[in-house]
Amino acid sequence: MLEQQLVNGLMLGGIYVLVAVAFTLTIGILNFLNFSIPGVFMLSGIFTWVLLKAGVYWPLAILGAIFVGAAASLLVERCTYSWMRSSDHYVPLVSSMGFLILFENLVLVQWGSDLQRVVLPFSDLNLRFASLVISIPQLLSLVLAICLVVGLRILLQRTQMGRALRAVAENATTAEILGVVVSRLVPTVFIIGGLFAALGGMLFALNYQQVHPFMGEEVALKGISAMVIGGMGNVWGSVLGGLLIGVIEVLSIHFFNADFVDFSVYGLLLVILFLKPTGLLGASGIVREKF
Amino acid sequence: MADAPVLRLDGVSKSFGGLDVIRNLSFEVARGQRTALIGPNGAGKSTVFNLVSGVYPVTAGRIRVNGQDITDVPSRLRMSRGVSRSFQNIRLVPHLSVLENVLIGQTPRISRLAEVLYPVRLVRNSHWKREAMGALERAGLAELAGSQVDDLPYGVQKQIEVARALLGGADVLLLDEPAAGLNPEETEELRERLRNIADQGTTLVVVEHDMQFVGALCEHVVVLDFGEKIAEGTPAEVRREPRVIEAYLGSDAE
Amino acid sequence: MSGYVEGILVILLLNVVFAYAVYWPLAAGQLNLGVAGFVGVGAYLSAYLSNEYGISPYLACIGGGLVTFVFALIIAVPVLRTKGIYLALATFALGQVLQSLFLNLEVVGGAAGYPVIAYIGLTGIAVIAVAVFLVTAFLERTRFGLNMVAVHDDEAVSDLFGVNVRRYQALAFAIGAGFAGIGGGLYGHHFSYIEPQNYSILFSISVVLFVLLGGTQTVLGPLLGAVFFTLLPEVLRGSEEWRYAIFAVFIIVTMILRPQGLVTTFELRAVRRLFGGGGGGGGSGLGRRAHG
Repeated sequence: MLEQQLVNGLMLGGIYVLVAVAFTLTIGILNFLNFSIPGVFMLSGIFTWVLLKAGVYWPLAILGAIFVGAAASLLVERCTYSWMRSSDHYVPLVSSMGFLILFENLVLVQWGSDLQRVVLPFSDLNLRFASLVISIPQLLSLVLAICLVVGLRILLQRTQMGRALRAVAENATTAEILGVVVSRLVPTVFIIGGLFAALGGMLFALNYQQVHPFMGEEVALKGISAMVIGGMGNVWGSVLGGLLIGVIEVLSIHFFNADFVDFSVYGLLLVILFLKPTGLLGASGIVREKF
Repeated sequence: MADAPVLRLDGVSKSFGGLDVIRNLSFEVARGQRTALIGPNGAGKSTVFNLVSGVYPVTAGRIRVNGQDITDVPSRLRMSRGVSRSFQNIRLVPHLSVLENVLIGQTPRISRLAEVLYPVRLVRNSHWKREAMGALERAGLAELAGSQVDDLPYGVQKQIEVARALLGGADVLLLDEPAAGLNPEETEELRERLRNIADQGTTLVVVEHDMQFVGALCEHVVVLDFGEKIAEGTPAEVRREPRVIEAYLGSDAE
Repeated sequence: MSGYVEGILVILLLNVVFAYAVYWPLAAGQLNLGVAGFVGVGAYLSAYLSNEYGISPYLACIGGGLVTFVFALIIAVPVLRTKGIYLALATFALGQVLQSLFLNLEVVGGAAGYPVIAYIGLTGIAVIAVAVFLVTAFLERTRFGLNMVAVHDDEAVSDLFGVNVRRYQALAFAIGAGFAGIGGGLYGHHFSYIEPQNYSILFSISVVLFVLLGGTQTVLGPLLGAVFFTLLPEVLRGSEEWRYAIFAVFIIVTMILRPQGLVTTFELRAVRRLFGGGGGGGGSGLGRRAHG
């Protein structure tokens, strides 16, 4: 049924939105494509499963999983970006890929590569409108994603820290001269980005009830595509791109088959890059031509 | 057209987004002449070089080299049409050695596939390398041939730029502040070298702030202010011009 | 030679070919994250040629590489309109689209994979891998290679000195793709079976990782990266499950301590001086940190 598919697509898109925002933050402000984000996403999903299985009270388990993700993101900052501000532009990219491999393989060593089922601590609640079924956790995660993006916009536009972040995005050297302590802001960016990715991973684990060491990759690749399609560095672009990709994905399966999903999603990405690299909503103009 | 001026600008204008940077500029540079383009900061001197070398298209006017109109020739082909240049901020290739940077200067003369596929970095004593070494020797830089360029002092890098620009076989050489950052001794050496280069038939156009340097090197001076030519003549002549004194010497000299 | 050593040598030689597939675009400043797609194009094309038309597998591999080269030259027109990170993302998207094409191409088996009948052994792979290295090493020493460095470092100056910047960039992209195509053909004809899952973004990323680990300033860097990447996991074989984690730590530490990669121009010059070769008196470079 098409309406149901559209609803499912939007719910899935909510997850992509969170990951896309995580990417767009480090790209937009630090001009760095942070490939450790899928690792952070996965760690948070895995820890949701681990903590729930250990019998931890679920609100604590959720918070714990998000904390692990944010901490991992901070670790990446300490070991990649803070060392490399002056060196060649693809170096942080390579390091962050190293962290992705590291996180995945540490989880693999500890818990194996099997798909693990997440047992929910609460019975699955569904809303029904006529013939439409909407899962409450999924609806909540979509609403949460949108609220967080609004919150992030307010943070960037209205607060002292937001102004400092935008100054860094414009030109880190100038910002430093104007008294912004860049070395203190960069970890903040990683933590905020890490929180978004971790939240995505946690919600993915709860919504789809399965986790495994490589769960971050596919979601992150779609998140990157969502970011570019919407407009790199543009937070609302990530929302539009994420929801669009979620819908395209389920429609590709609905009208063709699962093997067709990558063709339509990445085909759209390619067309956007060729015709309008700044994305549907336009990049914020802070993405310089670097890696 | 043997007696055509090597470089000739006719009514050249350039504007960036409605802002006129160069306005109706015309001047000629005769063969073998040493010409200076001077003016206060922001007068548009570097823009003139960028227009002549094709970095920007002109908004209006024509540029001729050896009597040929090159206004619409793409920047890539202008060196082979006779215009070579150096840059205000040093633009050497950091990942190449000094000798290899000078070899890059020969590129405008390369056209055949066999020359493109010639292993110039492998054959030790090729005529290309001999020529480049010769250029370095004349600049007194021969012992630095194998050095990495970004290790070298600023003044030396400037000299390498000049050596590189000369190898393209150009008739007119545009030098953007060649003496900036040099100590008096280096400045003196550079002036001697440029005199020699000019004596061997290369026409020089120099953008320079150091008026003493200009006075000692150049026979002909074009003065720009706010994108317009306000005076032209010998150094002694322009020094007497009231508008030059007002615009340049009065406000911004040294 | 034991089967174990032969198996590792084959992987090593294939990795060398893939390394130069990534090295060429990087030498012109392009990060190609879609190299797996070009490997796949070469693999499927050459397999189809040798399976359906009975062409010699070697000719099929070279032919597959040539077609991949031409395909990349054409696709370079839109791809090179993008720059920097957009270019990396465009190549990523291209790789994904190509992979999903293989997945949906029933004529070569679709998701079920495609068996390859003709076989190429270690010797054949070795000859072609050495040829790929020698062609790269030679081109790097020509004026073409010299100009490529200039294009990488400063497009505007290269243009003023008469280098056709666009043409160099497109050729670097396409030469890399051509090598990827040849490597794909060799892979298919050695392992007798190809499937779309082989040509994922992870393949592209791992090649990019080991090439950058080796360093892109010199032609030897990718070779060293490929050797290292192939042999390190074997050396760590005792600790089977930890080996990729250790490899990852190695990447992170290398990028902190030596972001320009393991081999740079500086080391090469030092070695050449040691053997009394040319290069002139370049002693002033001691201890400098080259920027990659």
